[in-house]
Amino acid sequence: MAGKVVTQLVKGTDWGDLDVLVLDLPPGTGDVQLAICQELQLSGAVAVTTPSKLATEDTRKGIEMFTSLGVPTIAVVENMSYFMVRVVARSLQWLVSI
Amino acid sequence: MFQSDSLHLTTQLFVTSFLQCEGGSKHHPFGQGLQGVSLPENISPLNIIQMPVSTLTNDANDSGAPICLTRPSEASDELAAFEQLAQVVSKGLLSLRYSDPEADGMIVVDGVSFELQSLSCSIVKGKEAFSVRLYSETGATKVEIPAADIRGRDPKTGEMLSKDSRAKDSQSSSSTADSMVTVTKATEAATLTRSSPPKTGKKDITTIPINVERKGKYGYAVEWEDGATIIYTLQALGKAAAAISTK
Repeated sequence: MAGKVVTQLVKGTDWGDLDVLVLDLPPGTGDVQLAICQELQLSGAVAVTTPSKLATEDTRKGIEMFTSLGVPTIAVVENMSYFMVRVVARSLQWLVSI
Repeated sequence: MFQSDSLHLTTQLFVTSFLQCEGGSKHHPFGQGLQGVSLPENISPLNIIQMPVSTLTNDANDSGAPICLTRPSEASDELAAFEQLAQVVSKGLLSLRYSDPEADGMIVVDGVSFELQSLSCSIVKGKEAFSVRLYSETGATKVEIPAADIRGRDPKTGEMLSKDSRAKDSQSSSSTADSMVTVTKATEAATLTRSSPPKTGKKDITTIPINVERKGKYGYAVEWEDGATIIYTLQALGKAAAAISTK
């Protein structure tokens, strides 16, 4: 179902004369990824993940799936990879300001 | 929303709200990530770009002013990561566009090398056959492959299948991500025809293609008269073309 909708979106849209078309896909290795790889001749993929074991395992599977479908992975972005502590403090609020 | 439904909110939980610091250094609070993950041999080493947990990036997201445009001087680590990402991706795309086509695979037909990605496949009208065209920088060739030959091959490797495995394939309904072969369940009549020799005067519907469609950079999906849809890799089609041309 999701794959068909994506196929309709990709093939039914007049994209015009593009240099690059970047597709932001949902996580995982589901219908959407499979449909995109089969309907388009993708140049390459950029995987986005976090360092947790569960996320990296999903990323590994995704990279393997894309490779088996002839799509090379150009780069992997590892979000929340590290935190640089520049001042000595006991605790830091790092994401949320309340 | 909860309050409008008269549901009292008792507690708010902020995940990853703060970090306990031991001193001024680099912390990996969520682990080492992809650094230690092993990948199959056919996958090139990964270009991993590490984005830090950053209050500056978070503030930029909240304000709607991208950090790559505002470029605050104190965000050197963040900007360096974004710059590395841009360089790796642009270099990778250029390399893929202008690199040696042999990276995507070649096939030799009649002594001439052709790029597998140039392969195109269509059904020959009025015949139970496929027309496979291959192109190179110096020329092109066309090979007509009987549909029965294609149906008798392994969709992934292009090797000829034994009769036992062909019969097993035609009666099964499976979808394997590994081989990317999708075999939809054939109709009962088709299965009966397949499992028994075709009667005199009747065509073997397992070797009649009714549609063929390109599937990304991987191959072509062939829809057969018996209801099966099988995706053949470019390598498998190229191998069949090479085998036919040498006969």
